[in-house]
Amino acid sequence: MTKSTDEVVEQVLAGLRDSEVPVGMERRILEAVQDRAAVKSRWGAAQSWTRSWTWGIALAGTVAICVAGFMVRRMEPVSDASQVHVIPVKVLDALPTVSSQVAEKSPQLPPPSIVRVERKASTRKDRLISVTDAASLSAMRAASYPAPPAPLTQEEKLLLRIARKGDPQELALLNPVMRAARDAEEKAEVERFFTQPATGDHE
Amino acid sequence: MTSIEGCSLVLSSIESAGSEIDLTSLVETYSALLFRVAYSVLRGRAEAEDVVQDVFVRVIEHRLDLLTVRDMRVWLVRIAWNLAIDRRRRIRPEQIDARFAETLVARTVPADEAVADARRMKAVLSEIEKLPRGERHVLLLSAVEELDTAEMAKVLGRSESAVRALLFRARARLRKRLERGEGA
Repeated sequence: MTKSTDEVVEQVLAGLRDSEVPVGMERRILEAVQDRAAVKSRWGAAQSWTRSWTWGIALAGTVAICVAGFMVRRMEPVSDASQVHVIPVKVLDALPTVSSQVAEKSPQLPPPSIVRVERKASTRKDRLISVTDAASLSAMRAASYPAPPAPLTQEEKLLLRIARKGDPQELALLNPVMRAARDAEEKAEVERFFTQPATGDHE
Repeated sequence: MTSIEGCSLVLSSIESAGSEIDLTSLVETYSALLFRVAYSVLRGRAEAEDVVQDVFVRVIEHRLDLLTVRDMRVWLVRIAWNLAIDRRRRIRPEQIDARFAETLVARTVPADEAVADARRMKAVLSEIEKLPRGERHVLLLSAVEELDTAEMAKVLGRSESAVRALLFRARARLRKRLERGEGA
């Protein structure tokens, strides 16, 4: 029984081992593999062509988006905040002095406070103002533009306070002739005060 | 043995030609061996031929890596073996084994004996399929008889001693189960 079982097993394994190769298998395999390789190469070429086109389209799209973004940023209006901070400073610098008297009285005036709080504007906005708003800037720099009031000096403030107070004595002191007369009178009183007792003691 | 000599010739031609592949020589040298390896698993001629074709398609796909392949023969057998195992899972082995068993029966024997022989051979094939996976693979690969133990070990990714032990256990287990089935 064991021998017959081994014989059957060996017969089956021999059947697996001794299987004949189909006639023309090599030729069929070669043709099929070469056809598949050709199709794959064509498909690979088409894929590479499509891939290159895809990359080209993507690159063109990226460039278009960059150009559009640059144009939009270039065309966008300058915000009011930048004008408020930049333009008055330039106007103050460009305009003539407010009045000759005030300017003569206060030649060492500190720079206006508005200049000190000047925000460091970006160079791009300055360039935009100088280029795109040149016309409006020149119009604002014209002489007809009402000049903003300059800050008063200490002397001017004192004069205003005296004028508002209306004290006749202080007003009279503003007259140089009367002030000189009063100074002379005070000087004479001082001299008289120091000279009279001396003569009285000797007598 | 002639295939091994052909292997060295093909390898030398590949090395001399750089990345060019002498596909015709490869097919002529290895197609029969690969067919038998695939047939031992699939037991169908058309299926085995498809596997051989797929093997050479893989060769075309990996033609740039062929120079790094140390043993072309083992590499191709391993590809054919894995493709056949994968294809075996998608077919119905019962019908194929029945047809294969009928082809093994001698045509000269009477009809009743032929039916009995076919039934016993189908039982053998069925018991082979019921063996543990490692034992079944070693037994089927050894049936080809063109691979030595070292090559089988490389194809299956096992040591030579493990291959020998698995083959011994497979035969013993198969004999025991067949005797028990015939006794019942």
